[in-house]
Amino acid sequence: MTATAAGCTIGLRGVGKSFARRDGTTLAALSAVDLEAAPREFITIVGPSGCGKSTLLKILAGLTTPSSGEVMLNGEPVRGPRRDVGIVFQSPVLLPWRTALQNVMLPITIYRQPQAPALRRAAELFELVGLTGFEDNYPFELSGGMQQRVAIARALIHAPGTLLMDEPFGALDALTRQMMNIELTRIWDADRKTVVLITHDIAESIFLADRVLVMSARPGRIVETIEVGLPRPRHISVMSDPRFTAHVARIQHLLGVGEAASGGH
Amino acid sequence: MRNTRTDQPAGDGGEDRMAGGFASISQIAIYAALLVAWQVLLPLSGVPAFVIPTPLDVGSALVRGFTSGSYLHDLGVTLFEMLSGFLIAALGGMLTGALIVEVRIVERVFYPLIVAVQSLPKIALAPLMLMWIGFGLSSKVAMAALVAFFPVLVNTIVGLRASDRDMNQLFRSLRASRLQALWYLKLPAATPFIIAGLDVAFVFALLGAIVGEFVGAASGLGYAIMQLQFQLDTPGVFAILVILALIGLAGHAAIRALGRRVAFWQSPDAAGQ
Ligand SMILES: Nc1ncnc2c1ncn2[C@@H]1O[C@H](COP(=O)(O)OP(=O)(O)O)[C@@H](O)[C@H]1O
Ligand SMILES: [Mg+2]
Repeated sequence: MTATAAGCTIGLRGVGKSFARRDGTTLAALSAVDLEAAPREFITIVGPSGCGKSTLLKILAGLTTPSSGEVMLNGEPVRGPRRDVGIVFQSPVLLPWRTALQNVMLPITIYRQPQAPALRRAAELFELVGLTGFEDNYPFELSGGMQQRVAIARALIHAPGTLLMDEPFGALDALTRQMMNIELTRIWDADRKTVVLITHDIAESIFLADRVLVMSARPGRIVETIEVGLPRPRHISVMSDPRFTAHVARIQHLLGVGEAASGGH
Repeated sequence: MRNTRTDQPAGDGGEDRMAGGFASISQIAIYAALLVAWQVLLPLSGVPAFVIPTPLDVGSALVRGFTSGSYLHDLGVTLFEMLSGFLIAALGGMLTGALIVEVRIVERVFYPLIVAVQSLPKIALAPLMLMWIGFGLSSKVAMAALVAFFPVLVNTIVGLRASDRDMNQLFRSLRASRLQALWYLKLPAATPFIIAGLDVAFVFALLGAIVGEFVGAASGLGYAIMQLQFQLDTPGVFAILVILALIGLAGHAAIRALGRRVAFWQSPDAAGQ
């Protein structure tokens, strides 16, 4: 494998997952998902809620074992959580008794890595996510958007080659969300990693990605892959680009948005 | 996200603390009025002083007791017994709680026993303690520890199991060891619960020490109550009750202050459940 530490390859082949229900039946959450991500590629996965997006991300993260298929990361099969991966969850999941800086440093503490170089890195990350000056604030003193930025810095502190994000801005208001999207592309432009980001927001999925994978309703499958092909760095104006709007229309069609309404005529 | 600031009344936050810690002017006025009424109305009612003393009787009994030095000695003895018992209960309760939560075999073997002992009224064991451990201070320390142990234990167990699912997942994704998860996640998450347990345990330790002294002792505030009761010195008994109440209040205030320091991210009242 030629993947560098700064960007890992991801490969999923025929990955399926079913859950045992309490009544004895099984629920197929994912079926036969194939996914390839090149080093430093930004992939978004968009799909209706309940289609198995979080399940897919947890499988990638090694937090859930698939019922079938294989998961490769940087040429190795994934058998559990890995330290070359950073994860951002839907909610910030900050420890309320730790300051922003202490939260960002948590992976370093758990990994027993030397503190001094990591502290210098943390200072850079606070700068990168625009939180310089808030290092000593506790989570309850920060807004939702700021908390999620702390969570992003925490996911990056140990310099993982891969970043996995599960609807990281899903809980934020539309305006904050848009600002976070712009910021995330800026962060990624500064230090490109392999990113898989889950979202249910179509515009967000196109704005951030090199490739958008569109998932069907349960059992989740990838029904189409869209090469975004828009220039980087991206500005908000890209959203009025005809290629952008064409992608939006295509994904809306694939997800069946608006068809119920037009079908009535 | 929980925001502890918005649900507090307007102001610098200090007001809230004042209201919890100190009586306001109007509260003082009401209690003063009640004491004056008690002082004035009681002699008119014809109830004899050895049944219910007036506040001034109690006050002078307090002064007499302290100047003669007899209360000081008994106070010292009881404080020693209850604080030793409290300390043993606090450390023992937290340690046992952590072992029960973390080590499956300890839970299997000891949990049923602990539940059985917990449903027993512990003060019924006081005569046995006297017989097993003796007439001295240690049997009272044991009683205090025994009674105070369970609220700490139960709250520690509940607290250690209360940590949030997402946070557990975060620690799993970091491949944290069990000891790391305990130290960096479960224990801090449990502190508000443990503080609430210590708050109850403090009063329980006092209860244990006093009951131990009732059953058999040569000194201590519980012993003093028995002696004064025997001499029909009801103002003296009331004076001791005042001292006991003050000990309880001081402990409560100290533990609340500790809670504000070690569980500062919680609003002060959220830690009370
Ligand atoms: N641990 C689990 N046990 C049982 N069912 C689950 C579990 N996790 C997810 N599911 C089910 O799998 C489906 C997909 O869930 P999820 O991956 O969270 O969807 P999404 O993130 O796309 O909204 C849902 O129907 C959900 O109820
Ligand atoms: Mg989800």
